[in-house]
Amino acid sequence: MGPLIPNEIIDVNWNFLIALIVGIGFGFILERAGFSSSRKLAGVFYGYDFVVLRVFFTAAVTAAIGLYYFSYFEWIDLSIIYINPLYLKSNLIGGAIMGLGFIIGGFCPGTGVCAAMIGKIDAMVFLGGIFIGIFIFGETYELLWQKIHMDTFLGAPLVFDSLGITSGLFILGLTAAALLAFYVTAKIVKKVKPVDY
Amino acid sequence: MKMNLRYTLLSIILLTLAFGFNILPEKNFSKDLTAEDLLLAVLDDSRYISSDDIASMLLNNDPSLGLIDVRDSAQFNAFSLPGAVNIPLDSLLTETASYYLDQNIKINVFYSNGSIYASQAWLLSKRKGYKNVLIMRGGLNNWVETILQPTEPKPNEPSSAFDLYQFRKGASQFFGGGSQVSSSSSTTKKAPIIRRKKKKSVAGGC
Repeated sequence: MGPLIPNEIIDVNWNFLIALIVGIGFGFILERAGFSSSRKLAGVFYGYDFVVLRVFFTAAVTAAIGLYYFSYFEWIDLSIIYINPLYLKSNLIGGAIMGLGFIIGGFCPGTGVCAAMIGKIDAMVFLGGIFIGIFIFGETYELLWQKIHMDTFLGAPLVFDSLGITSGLFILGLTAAALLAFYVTAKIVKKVKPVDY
Repeated sequence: MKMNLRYTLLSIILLTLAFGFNILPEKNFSKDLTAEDLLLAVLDDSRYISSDDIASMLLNNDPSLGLIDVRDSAQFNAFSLPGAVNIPLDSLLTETASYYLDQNIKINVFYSNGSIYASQAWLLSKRKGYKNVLIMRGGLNNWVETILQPTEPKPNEPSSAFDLYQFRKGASQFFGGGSQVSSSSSTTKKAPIIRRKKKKSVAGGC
């Protein structure tokens, strides 16, 4: 049955409208979870607030369990869903830059937009920086970056295939790791001096 | 305390669900391709990729493109697309061919002079269960017509036709076919190329 759009159960022209609705929902949840505060986001790095980790880890585990049950009941065909391709070198470099930007700026791109929309000036500056960066990258892409970007293309490998275990075992491990992380971070928060924000 | 109880309950539910997936009886997903499935796949137009898209991928050095030439080796040696691998139709089911075809990384595009041999190769690949196989629409004949010797659109055609023509003209110079127009700037082989936007799925992220 699913995915709905590639299987033409929903017309492809609905794509952007659905994306808009999902995006608004995502932004709303981010804001309500307090992710428009850079202090809350930075809390993960300083150990006084782990809500970000909990929300995203829960989302990942829920989605993984849900998708594989859906696939088992043949509600979704996992072989035709889009998986981001792995370009090892550029993914590593990009991840490092993204992490640096996260801790320096206090936002990740999505939460930056959220915070800018509720009027935070630091987030607006952050967004401005993003667009300047995108512009410079776009203008110099073919000159400087294309070779690095296209290097070490590895297709779209899956973790459990690379490890040689079943998807079920991997999901069980991931769930256990998530719950353990929630438990440990709850202990850490209790020990770290509370920060008022 | 009440909050803790709720978290514990939720954790147990999550763990049970994750564990349950491991003890579910195995299901056989790899069914043989039935005649009905094959008919549906044949009716579906999405197995074709245009020569413009191929040209654009080649110009962008897209590493995900794998070109498979299904003509015989004499024709392959006479002319082939850059980076293409020669797997003649009669050796499509050999071990060497499966090395290129039985994979999940690249998009393999078959081409021949017309469409017939490429279509046959595609059908065989489909039956073998190879993933990500496409056919270059119109084959090399169409490649010559559209990329190497593009025809100028009429003045009353939409501007997109002119954009496409510009792209094709640039591509024709790049791929060495040249054209009558380009003779003035024959010193530089690589002319400014107007690139069309490549269709890409939207990537996610927070």
